Amino acid sequence: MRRFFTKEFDFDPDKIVLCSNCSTCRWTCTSYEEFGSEAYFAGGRLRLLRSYVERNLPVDDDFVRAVYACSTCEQCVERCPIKVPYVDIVEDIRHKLVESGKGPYGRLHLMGDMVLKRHNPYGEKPEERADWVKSDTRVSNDSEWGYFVGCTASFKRKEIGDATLRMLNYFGIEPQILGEEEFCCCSPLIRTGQIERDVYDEAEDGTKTYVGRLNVGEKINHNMEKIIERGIKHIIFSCSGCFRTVTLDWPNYYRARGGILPFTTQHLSQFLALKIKQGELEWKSSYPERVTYHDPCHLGRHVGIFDAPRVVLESIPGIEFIEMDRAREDAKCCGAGGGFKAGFGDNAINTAERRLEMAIDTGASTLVSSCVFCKLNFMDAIKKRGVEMKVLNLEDLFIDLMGLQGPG
Amino acid sequence: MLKERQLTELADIVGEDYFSSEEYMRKLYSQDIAALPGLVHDLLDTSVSAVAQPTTSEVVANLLQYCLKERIPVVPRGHGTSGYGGVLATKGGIVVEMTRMNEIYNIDRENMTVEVGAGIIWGKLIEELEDEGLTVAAYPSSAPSSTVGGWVAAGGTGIGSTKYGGIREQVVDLEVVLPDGQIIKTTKAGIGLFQGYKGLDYMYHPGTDKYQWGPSGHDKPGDDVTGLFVDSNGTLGIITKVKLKIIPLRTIQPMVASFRSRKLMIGALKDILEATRPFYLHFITNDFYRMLGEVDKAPETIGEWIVLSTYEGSDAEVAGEVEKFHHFVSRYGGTVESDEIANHEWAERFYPLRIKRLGPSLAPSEVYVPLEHLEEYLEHLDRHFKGEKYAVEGAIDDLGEVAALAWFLDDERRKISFLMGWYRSLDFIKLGLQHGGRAYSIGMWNAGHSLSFFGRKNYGLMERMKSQTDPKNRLNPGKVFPASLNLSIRFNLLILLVATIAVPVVLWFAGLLVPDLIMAYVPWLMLQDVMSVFIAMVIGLLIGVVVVEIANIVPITFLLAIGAHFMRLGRRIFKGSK
Repeated sequence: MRRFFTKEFDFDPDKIVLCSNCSTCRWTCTSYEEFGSEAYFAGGRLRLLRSYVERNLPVDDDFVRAVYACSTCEQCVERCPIKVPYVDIVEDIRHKLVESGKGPYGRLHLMGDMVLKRHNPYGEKPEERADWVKSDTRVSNDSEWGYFVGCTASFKRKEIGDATLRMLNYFGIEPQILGEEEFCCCSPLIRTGQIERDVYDEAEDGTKTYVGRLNVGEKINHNMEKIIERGIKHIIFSCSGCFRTVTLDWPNYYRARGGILPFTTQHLSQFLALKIKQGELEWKSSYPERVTYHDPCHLGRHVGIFDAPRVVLESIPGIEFIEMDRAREDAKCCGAGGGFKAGFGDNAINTAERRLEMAIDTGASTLVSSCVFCKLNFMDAIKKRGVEMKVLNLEDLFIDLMGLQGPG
Repeated sequence: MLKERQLTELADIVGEDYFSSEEYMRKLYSQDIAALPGLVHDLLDTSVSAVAQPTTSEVVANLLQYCLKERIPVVPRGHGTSGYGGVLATKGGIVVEMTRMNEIYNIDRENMTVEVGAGIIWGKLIEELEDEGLTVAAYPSSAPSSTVGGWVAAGGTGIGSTKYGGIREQVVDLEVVLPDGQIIKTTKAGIGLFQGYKGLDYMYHPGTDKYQWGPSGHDKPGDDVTGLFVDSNGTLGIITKVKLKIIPLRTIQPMVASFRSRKLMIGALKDILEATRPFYLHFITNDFYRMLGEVDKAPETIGEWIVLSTYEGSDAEVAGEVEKFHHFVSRYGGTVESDEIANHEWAERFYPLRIKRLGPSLAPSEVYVPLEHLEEYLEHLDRHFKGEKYAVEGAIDDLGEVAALAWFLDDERRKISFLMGWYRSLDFIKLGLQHGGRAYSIGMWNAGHSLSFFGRKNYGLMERMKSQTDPKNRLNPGKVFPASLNLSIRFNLLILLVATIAVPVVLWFAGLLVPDLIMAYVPWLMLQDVMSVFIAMVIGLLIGVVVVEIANIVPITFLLAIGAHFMRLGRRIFKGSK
């Protein structure tokens, strides 16, 4: 039976034949909106995949491009009448492409190279990972609470790490951070299929020297070991991508205890919502503006956290909370995730612009999200459009209203 | 295959961003929604050379003019969500995908019409109209994915058709680009268009050879020929804009009743249709409901024969209809189910495909059957498809016909069995016709039913226009007007190879079995040395060429009609094997 599909794409055939070609997923597909062609939406990609595997066609660049032009936002799965696990399939295809040396697309391989060499996809110096910690904030070495900062907050958007730490400090928590010992959570690598591959350094004259073998499992298990070593029991995340990956992907790589992680994971929006429920949070000032909330795909559709951030927002005094046309399970993707922004920068900004349009339509002055990538992408879109709109993450809003900003 | 020069020039006409001739795009646009048995792809060549996505009617016109000049076949396409082969290429050429023309041009509240680009998705149009307090009177059950132009070209009935008719009744006016590149409005075109007047009376917008557009031609009022373009699968011209009827958005009240038997359900359907005016009257058989139960999409009901009757209108109207509905359901011993179930079934109207999980493949088929013959038809199906797993649902239209839709569960990974199973789709239609029905949509696979579907008069008109404007049959060949097969090169080679080998082998056997007979009458056929074997092979090759030529002029409908019998037999043999 499996011989029907060729070796190169050795998938579970049941997953592919399940799609009925009904194309219900096309209408809201992030990449279809951008590229407008049959190859650039979930169902079309599966059909493309079928024609490649059934007819044993050689994998070409066009195919690779089509497979990587997907933000894995899962809107298709949400709409699919049969619930074809499309995102799993596309990640699987990417994995196979990388294995066979055809992927990843464009310059996405740089992320993998950097993670192997420097433990973060940006290629920043690992020893500078904890440089964002300011002197008036507190971290400890023995707390049960941990804060998994993530590469983006550590190197690129340091204010997010700072805000989250101040938030935790406010509630009397002095979390442990892994600092230099924290490696990338591997979200960008798993999303782009770079599970395991050889990394080469290419000199200007084109000669390649072998650097080593990138292995996502090793990075993940390193993080796991460090977390367990330090006795951390509860981990807070400010990054939706890290949160999704640790919660849903790490168990696949953690072989001990049947894959059950020995610590709890929670996103800071859940943490804040709980504090509100327990009556431990009293807002110190009000935010008398119209605010709308964008559901990050990795936090919302992937893990199912829709209510927590709304509970937090609605509890803020003076706030006028308004939903966008498409919210919660139906939320439109901003186009930052799944390697889409890294591989198709301009297209990702166009996508964010379309989501921004929806936010503008609500008449809101502030667009709140809870994902570093969404925030980054929205800020690019705002710059491109030249409109007035504040983009904040929940933790930004929190320290603003509680007057917790650090010096400078 | 197109030449490099042609590809460049086509890209110039459409715009480079909207034109693609890459391998992967060509593969994708060589298919429609139907999961055809893999072997069919080995037999038929449905591949295209390029894909164009025109953005305006003028681009379509220039494109068609160019293709006429260069003798390139053109296959118009929406989102390809119909499974009748209407968008499959039979002679290569290019696909013209209309999805970039997806705007709402005008909402006319006075005449209650909306004018849209052919490529707009129904769901999107409905959403936009609802914001204005309006809606369309009928939409297909594939509304989340299908285009307006696609439904106009493929025809059919859908949600709302019980009250307001199918797509044919919704279309007020069409803008069509004829095969020679002229843009016409069908309400103004005049019947002359179909009667062979070659004058320019009906011209609406004349084109020039330089892909530039001059001033508008004069409009001349004439007969409304809109209806002749509906269902025509884009064989007469490419539909670029559609003007549809709209209605105000009013109360929609779905009601669900369940019945204990087929007889009771059909009795109730007839009475409900006679005494009330449902917006959408739909039924599901018990087998279908059980399958839905297996995928957790069937709430608990008293009976297993489910009727969904939805009412639309003012609050008072709807209340009156609902009261009558209660009465007729109780007359047939049925149960009116809760609002929750009714809303569930109404929300599920777009998703009959949910049962695909049980397949994992589904082979669909659809045919119109008069409601009065529905019972005998369903009984006949049970007898005919004994041992097959299938489910039937149906929607009743304004003419009292049931658009009966069957889903046969299958597994396409079992290639031979799946191929043989294709007979079921053909038989489902054949039995429907036996019970006084008619084909649902024509496309390619049903092209043999064109005459009965369109009626002698209309079909004659369409045929005449086709022969006038597109004598070489370059616009969507093989659809509506039956055309010959286009066997794949690989299959042609196979025939040649088999014939070349078969003839010497047969002669050798003949020489062994009846040597005296051959020596007595046709001694030159005796295989004696290498030379005679070689000659026999050459003869075989020549026979092969003749067979290939004949095979390539046999209409596909003829092949399907004959093939169905073999497939039925084959299915019995291969079904059990894994």
